[in-house]
Amino acid sequence: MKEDYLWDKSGEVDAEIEQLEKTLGSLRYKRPAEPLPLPAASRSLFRFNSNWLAAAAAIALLLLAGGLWLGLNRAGSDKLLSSGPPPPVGPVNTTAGVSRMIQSVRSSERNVAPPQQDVVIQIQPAVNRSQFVAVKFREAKRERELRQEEIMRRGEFAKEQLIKALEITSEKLNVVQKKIQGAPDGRNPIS
Amino acid sequence: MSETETVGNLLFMTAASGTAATAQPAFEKSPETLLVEKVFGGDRDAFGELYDLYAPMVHGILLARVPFDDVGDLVQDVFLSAFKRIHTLREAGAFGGWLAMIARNRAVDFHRRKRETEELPENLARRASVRPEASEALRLIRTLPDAYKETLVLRLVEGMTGPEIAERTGLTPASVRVNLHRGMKLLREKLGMEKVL
Repeated sequence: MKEDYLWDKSGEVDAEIEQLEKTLGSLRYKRPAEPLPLPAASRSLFRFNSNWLAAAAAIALLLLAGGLWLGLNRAGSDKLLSSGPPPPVGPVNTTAGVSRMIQSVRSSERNVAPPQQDVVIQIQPAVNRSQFVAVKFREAKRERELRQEEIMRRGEFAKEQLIKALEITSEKLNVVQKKIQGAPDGRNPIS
Repeated sequence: MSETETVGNLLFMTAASGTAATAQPAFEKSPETLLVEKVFGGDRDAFGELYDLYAPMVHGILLARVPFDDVGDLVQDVFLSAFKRIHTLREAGAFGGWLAMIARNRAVDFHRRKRETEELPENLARRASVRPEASEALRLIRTLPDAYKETLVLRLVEGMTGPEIAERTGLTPASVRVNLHRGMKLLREKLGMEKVL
């Protein structure tokens, strides 16, 4: 068949194509006498590798996520610490102030102090400054412990979030790697 | 052995042989791919072998686009450029297509620079070095669409067969076949009209 001759030079010879081959054959590539003058060195050692690029992207993503998480966590803990009650300033002399203070002491020491202390405070209406400071100190300590618990709880939650993010990133990387390994050759060259 | 077991084994063997038959080509590497991998490792001689293998393809791609007398220098430019940028090639098996793309881009760059520098007309040099019939036939081929003229030059000038063109350029054999037949049909029409040969 004449079509086969055009395709792979087999079959019946097409006279017109043969004539064109003879005419155009004079323009055919001729190997030069001198070899190709190659430059001193190629950058083959630093050959672009898409796997390295994917790994670098993953590391950058993780650093970004970690930084974001740390920043948010720090901002949250600062907010918690700054939202506590202001420390007492100056002596407390008024009766209303004393009774309020006794109520506060009762509520704060219910969990930590023995019941005798409650009685002592009740029968001693004139509370001096040192006792007030001690009570407030315990109160502040208790609040600090609660804040610590809250921070720990948030930390645990953030940790879980980060682990989930890492798992998702890992899955995405696997998909990318599979795509790279399964890509067809020679269809999309880089120039 | 029961009949069910026999059929099951046969089916298993058929499936296994089918898998092997389809999977094998994916693991086989062509000699060209092996050469490219050697170049990745810094083997300069391997690049020389690639030059010998792919120079006709690059010559044909350039000849379809730029004047004959400039093609020789441009072929060397293309290979030097490829050698410098070999680290950007992701897949060794894609070397042919990648090199063809560099050649096409180099031809575009040639015409851009030519416009900027206003060189002497093409006919002046062509008349001295190329037979008039060949020059005229090539002129007609160059009037065809890019895909057709490139394939026809590789077939008629460089003497490559369709399967060789597909293997070197990275195009599918079906695409090359279609380009050859449609291009040849258009060329015959043009030859008939102009009666060059």
